Amino acid sequence: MQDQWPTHRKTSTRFSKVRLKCLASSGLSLAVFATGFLLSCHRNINVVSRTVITGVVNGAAFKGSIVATINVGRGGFSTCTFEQLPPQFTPGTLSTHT
Amino acid sequence: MVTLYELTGGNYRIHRTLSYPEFPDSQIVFDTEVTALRDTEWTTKISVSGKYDGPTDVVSVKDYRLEWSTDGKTLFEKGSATLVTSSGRSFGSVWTSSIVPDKPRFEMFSRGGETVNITFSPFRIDGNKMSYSWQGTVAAAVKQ
Repeated sequence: MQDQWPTHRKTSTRFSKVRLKCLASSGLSLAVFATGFLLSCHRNINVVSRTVITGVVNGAAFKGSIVATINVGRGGFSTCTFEQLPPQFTPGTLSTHT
Repeated sequence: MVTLYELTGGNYRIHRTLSYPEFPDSQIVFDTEVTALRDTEWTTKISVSGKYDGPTDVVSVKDYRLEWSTDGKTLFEKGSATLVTSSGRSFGSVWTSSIVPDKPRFEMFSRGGETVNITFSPFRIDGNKMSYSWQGTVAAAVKQ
């Protein structure tokens, strides 16, 4: 009978530690999952950007519009239409800066 | 790593000066204002000015790389890219930009800066139109 208390206390202590570890690991797993889920959702956002560009290059009018679909954190696709370009210029002259 | 979307929320101004080492008389300045109408829809106004006497038949871009650093208010950008003409000739372009968000969100920005590498598809040019796609990666800058 004298040994029952120490045995009981050891079991109780072990149980608490196991339960705490279990709770902690479950909480950590949930936090990691939630963070990953939120980040993955965030990174999958598609933004549509509509641009108007105007100005003067080489003394001539430069005018165009660009529609870009941007997948945040990955890449995107752009379509540029130029209403006015300086002489000899092509749509690619200023590369991707427009 | 964080992107412009996360750093600016889509409301920012960019002042960019573009030059071409092989054509020292060429310099183009872009003043850009980006406004987020909502999270997924932005509107952009670019004012362009300057002089350019390099090749005009550019059909693709490669080795596109950006280096970003910040003082907590402004994002400083150093960029470089190689342009390729329709005859296969390559020449360089370099630029510096200052990007000023309306409400800076630099808390998550890497202390040592970030580098961005972007690959572009060849330009698809049809009359006065051009289209292309791109893919990018953002990474913490490696100090050399």
